[in-house]
Amino acid sequence: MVIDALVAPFQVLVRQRPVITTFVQREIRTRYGTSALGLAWPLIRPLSLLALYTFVFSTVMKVRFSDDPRATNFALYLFCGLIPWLAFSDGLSRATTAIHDQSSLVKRIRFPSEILPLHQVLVALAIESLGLVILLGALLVDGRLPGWPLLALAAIVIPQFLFTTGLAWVLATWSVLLSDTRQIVAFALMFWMYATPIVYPLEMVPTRLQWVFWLNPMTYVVEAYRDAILENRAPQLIGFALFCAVALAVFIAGYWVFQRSKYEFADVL
Amino acid sequence: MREPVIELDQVTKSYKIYRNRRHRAVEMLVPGAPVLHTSFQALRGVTMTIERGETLGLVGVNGSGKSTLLQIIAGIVRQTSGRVDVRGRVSSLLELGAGFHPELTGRENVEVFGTVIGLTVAEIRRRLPDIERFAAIGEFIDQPVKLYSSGMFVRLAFAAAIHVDPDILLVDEALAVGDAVFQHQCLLRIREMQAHGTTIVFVSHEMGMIKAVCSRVVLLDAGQILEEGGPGEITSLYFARASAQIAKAQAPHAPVTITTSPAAPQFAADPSFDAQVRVFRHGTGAAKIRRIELLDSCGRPAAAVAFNDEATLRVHAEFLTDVPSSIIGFGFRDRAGIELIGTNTFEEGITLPPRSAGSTLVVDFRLRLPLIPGTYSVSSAIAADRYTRAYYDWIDNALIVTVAPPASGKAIHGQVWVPVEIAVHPS
Repeated sequence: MVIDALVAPFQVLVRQRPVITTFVQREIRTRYGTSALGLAWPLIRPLSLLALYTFVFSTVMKVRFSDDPRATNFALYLFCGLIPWLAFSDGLSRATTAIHDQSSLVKRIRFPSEILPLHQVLVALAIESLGLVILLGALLVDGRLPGWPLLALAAIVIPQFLFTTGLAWVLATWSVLLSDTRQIVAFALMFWMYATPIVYPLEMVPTRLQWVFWLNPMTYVVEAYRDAILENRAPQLIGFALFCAVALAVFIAGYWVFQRSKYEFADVL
Repeated sequence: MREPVIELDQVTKSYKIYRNRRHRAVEMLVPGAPVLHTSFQALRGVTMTIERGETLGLVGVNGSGKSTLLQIIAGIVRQTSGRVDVRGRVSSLLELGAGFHPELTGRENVEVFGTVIGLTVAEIRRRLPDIERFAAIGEFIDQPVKLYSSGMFVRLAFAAAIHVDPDILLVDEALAVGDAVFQHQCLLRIREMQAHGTTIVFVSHEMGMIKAVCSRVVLLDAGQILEEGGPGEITSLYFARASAQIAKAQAPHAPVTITTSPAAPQFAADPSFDAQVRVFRHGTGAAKIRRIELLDSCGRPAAAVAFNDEATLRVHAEFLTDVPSSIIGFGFRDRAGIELIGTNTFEEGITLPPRSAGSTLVVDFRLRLPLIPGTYSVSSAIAADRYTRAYYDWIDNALIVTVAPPASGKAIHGQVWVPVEIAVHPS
């Protein structure tokens, strides 16, 4: 029984793989395939945010990372945090409305609705990888060569996906049953972003408050990305193990929150 | 070789009805909150077994639970209690093209649909030529479906749904789409699937279709199985019950008031009409029939007319959106549900003018009713045009009419009498 309950969310990934693949392709094709700039769009947004935040926080407010006052250094650190953050927040906010947006699938045909929030998370991660390519290109131009810790990224992405998907399932469920969820998610994500050391280094936070920041799993994700890409530092095993545990718990719990209510969706939508 | 593929055991479904969304939220989020919902019982203990290869018809008035039952079999809605066992791949024509994405091409949408139903991409690709041929939309298969006409959209969706080799096919009113040729094609394909042993569950208000297709019919009423049996038997029962119900509802509404018939009849909605026909009505709602009345040869409203007397069937229609064209028609059914006479403005060569939202039309059909004395149920409908067969409004049992025996005492043989000239040539 318990084993089944723990394994079931992973079985979705295996059993529904063809549908998940098709829907990820479909989403990318419909979101970008029809616009004139096409696949440039998923880059335009992070790059313009990057320019904006760099100007505000580096040029105007003089925030600096690792005592390097250059704006390019700030931009690299910022981008490194922005990439996983945008994957997380875009995935979540799209997933929140995923059931609503596809209500005809949920209401009219037998459809594994759990893949709707999930595929939005995957699409966001796929887009993130585009940003990573740009970032790595910029690093090469800047003359920094990431070392082998870069490989750790592959290991971090997995719990990052599980964590985001678990939350996505919860939010998708709540937003069907309670439409206020969408409003709440929009501004909660904004708070969450500033509560994560993205536009400032964690070291600038008063030391006695830093432990609060470590309660935020996204702090771990952002720091791990910076370690792997910029600091050439291997991930700490304890932190990684803790994050994996949290991600697993959120993934499994999120799945069951979704399962418990999914048969009500057709009644409510 | 009996082999049950769908088994339902004491299946019930109740919907929670909340007065507003806040109540739902409170009940969901606040532990120990009082019960804020009322329940609506859509199904009350349905038990049935459907064998492989059977075509089962589900009939009943709106709200009797047919659609809920179909949704439960389809796995879209979960039963509140009871056991549901469905073996095999289910394809449903509940809502054609559900989940088709407007920006994707027809081909891409069919591929997505196929994976959802459980085929691999290779299996779908293999079926695509058949689907294309059946849908007959030509080059449009590679255009985004948002560019499709509604007829093309439905044809593609239908073609996709029936070409995925389902073990079980669920059909809900879906055949009332497309032009006559396409409908004929669909029926042929359904026969083919029947011959191949596909199990079909069929919901329709069209008793003619039920009779043509089904091998067994279940009559649902208020969420329960009222009767089951052969198609002829159950469809007759359906009409008899419907007529009795309507006749009862109409009785107090049939005062014989004498109105001086003005040159042009004025539109007048019947305030109790909507409630009366609610369960017999379907359509898009772009236009609605607001009153239907029978006038005798003197232009007086009447519930009965004498055999073959001149009469007028007057349909008051209101348009709720702008429509470029419309067709208004009627039909008379006998107690067995057989449509004896019927026609529409298009067939009679009348073109109805374009109508804007809020405007009305009153259409008089002057006719004789050379029908064997008895009670008849009048259906009436407003359609967009003859091609799409998208009904703005379709009402069965809109009016119950009694044909009284001819004053001459002549006996009528057969259901319909036609004028006869007799020449006798003695040798």
